[in-house]
Parts: sequence; C-alpha cells; structure tokens
Amino acid sequence: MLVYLSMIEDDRDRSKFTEIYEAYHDLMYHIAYKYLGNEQDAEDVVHHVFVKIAEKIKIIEPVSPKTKGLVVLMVENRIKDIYKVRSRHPEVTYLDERYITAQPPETNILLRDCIESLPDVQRHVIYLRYFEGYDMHQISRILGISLDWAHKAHKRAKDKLKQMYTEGEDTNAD
Amino acid sequence: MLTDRMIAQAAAEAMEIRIAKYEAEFENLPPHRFSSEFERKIAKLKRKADHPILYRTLYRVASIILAVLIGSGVWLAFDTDARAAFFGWVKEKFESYFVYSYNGGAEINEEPKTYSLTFIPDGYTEHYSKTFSDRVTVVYTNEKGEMLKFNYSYTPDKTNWFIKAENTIVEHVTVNGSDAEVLLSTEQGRSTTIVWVAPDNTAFNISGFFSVEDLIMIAESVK
Repeated sequence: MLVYLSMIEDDRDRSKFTEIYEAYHDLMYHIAYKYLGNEQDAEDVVHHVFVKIAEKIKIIEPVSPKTKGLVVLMVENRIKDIYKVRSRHPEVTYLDERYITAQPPETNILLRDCIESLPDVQRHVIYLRYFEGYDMHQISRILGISLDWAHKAHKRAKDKLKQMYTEGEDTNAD
Repeated sequence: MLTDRMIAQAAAEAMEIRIAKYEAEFENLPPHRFSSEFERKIAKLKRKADHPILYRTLYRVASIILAVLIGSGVWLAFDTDARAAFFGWVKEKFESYFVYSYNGGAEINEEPKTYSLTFIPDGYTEHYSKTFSDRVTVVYTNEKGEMLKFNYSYTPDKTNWFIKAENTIVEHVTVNGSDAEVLLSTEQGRSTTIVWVAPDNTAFNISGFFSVEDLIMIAESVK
C-alpha cells in the first residue's frame, strides 16, 4: 500500500512543465535541427519554445497527443520566424515541406490537403482552434499575434477551406 | 457541406501524420546531448514553472485523502469510471480521453518481442509499420480508406495510451483468456478499439471499423 502511494506521489510531483519537457524535447530538437542544420540554433529554438510554454503553462494540457501537436507547431512556428529574419542571408534556404506524402488513405484526404495547403498562420490557427480546442484569445497569445489578426486569419482560413473543399468535391464528382 | 467537426477531424489527422512522419524520420537517431548552457537555462525555466511549494502541498493532501479511501476499502467504489485498475495498468479519465498507463507491480519484458496479426479481414493490406523504441504500430487499410491499427508495447511502464472517451461505451470481454476492454464509439466515423494485456505483460490495442466479435477474432489471432 505504501509503495503504491509513494509511486503516485512521485509521479504527481513531476510538474506538467517537466513532463512536457521530458516527453518532447528530443523530438523538438530533431525537428529544429532538420531545418536549421546547426546544433546551437536548434537548441535555441527548443529553449525559446519552452520559454513560451512556461509562460502559457496554465492553458496547456499535460502530456497528450494534443500537447505533442502543439509543441511541434510551436517549433515549426519558431523556425519560420527564424527563416523570415534570416531571409536576407543567401546561405539560408527556406524549406517548406508538407507532410502529406506518407499519409495513410482515409476518408478526409481532400480536406486534410486543403488544410495543409493554407498559409502558415492560417494553418496554425486552424490546428489550434479545431485540433487543440483553444479560443481565439488563447490562440493569439500562443502565436504571438493580435486578437484581431487571429480572427482575420481564422475567417480567411475557413473561407479558403470552404472554397477549396467545394472545388475539390466538384472535381471529384466530375 | 463543410462543418467544424469535419475540419477538426481533418486537422487532427493531418497533425497525426505530420508527427508520425517526423518520428519515423528521427527514430534511429540517438538522443541529442544538449549543451550545459542549454541545460542550465532549462533548469531555471523548470524552477520558474513548477511552483513546487503549492504543488507538493496540494498533492500531499490528495495522497492523504487517497490513503484514507484505500485504507477504508472504498476506493474502488469511489469512481470506477474516473480511475480503474486495469490488468496491471490504471485507466484514468482525463478530460475527453481514457488514459491507460502501467501501475507497476508486474514483471516487465526486457527483451524485444515481435507480434503480428495472423488474421486480417478481407480487403485490408499493410500500409505502413513503425517501431519506436518498445512500441510497434502496424496500419492496414482497405479500398474505402478505412484503417485497421495494431499497436503493442512490450515495456508498458513507458507507455501511456490515450483513447477518446467521449460518446464511448466500454464492454468487458476476453482475448484468449485475458481480460480485455472494448471501447465502442457511438459516433459515426470513429473506430472501435480493443485493449488488453497478455500474460507476458505485453500491452496491445487494435482499432478499426469492426463489430466487437470481429475485433475479438482479430485480437485472438495475435501471435
């Protein structure tokens, strides 16, 4: 009995932040390194994202598939920011891979492709709103954009998705 | 017509694929050894984020309450849906998920184990398989794009499985004599999942668009 209790306490004593760090920091590093090709830069990205996570720890779920999606999105967002800053430097190439090549076929491929083809901010807003379930205030804080901008990106994204989805369905019907 | 629910489902699938692609790409890479400067900065962040005094006090109180409940023998009746002992694991309900995690007390497999389905329903072919550390995932698909997912972990102490709990009915069944749970979704378009732990302590789950009987048949074909 005491062993059981001490196990629970040990488990629970590890904070949400620490659990998120332990679960995902290596994945985050590898993603950052893949795009930046430099250990120091990749570590800086991981650190930057964890600073943001610490700031928003109250609204972030514990370790879960959603949290994994969120940290991956935050790493990608930071990498894109770095690319923007460095775009004046010729040695940096912008990589914009879309991860739809290895997908297993499912029922919603068309819509998934539409989401993946959205501009970055709009795609991130869609993920955060519909996959993570954040409200627009929280999304604006996570992405570091104004509430107004978040609302506009959301509306544009939904309009585009409706348009692309309808066109895609019509094409399939033909 | 495009609905919010369709967007949510597609966004979830797209993210799942995105992450699976990353993990498959990095699975053979050794863990990165972070610089001491990085470790120092993260340690500082952890201290800031943890609020240790309040946190430890709250959980000590929770542990005492739990000790009283266990001591009086009423804890199992307390809320079996929220936290239930599950064949050497614990099933907890966390928001919209059932979370299966190992609760210790049983021997853990040290050697890698290989299992496969010896019965695969007609029309399904292997689409991809992934081994990540002690976890194995094999996905089969049919022409309609429906997936049959086969997952197992032979060191379950490192495993947390999240299975959607919303609109889900839990049925208790057996797989080759081992107790198992079937999680039946009442929502259209969501698969059914069977979860069980074999006598050698390997944990399995299989999900797909099948009846309970067919799912048990598939589960019992694991060799």
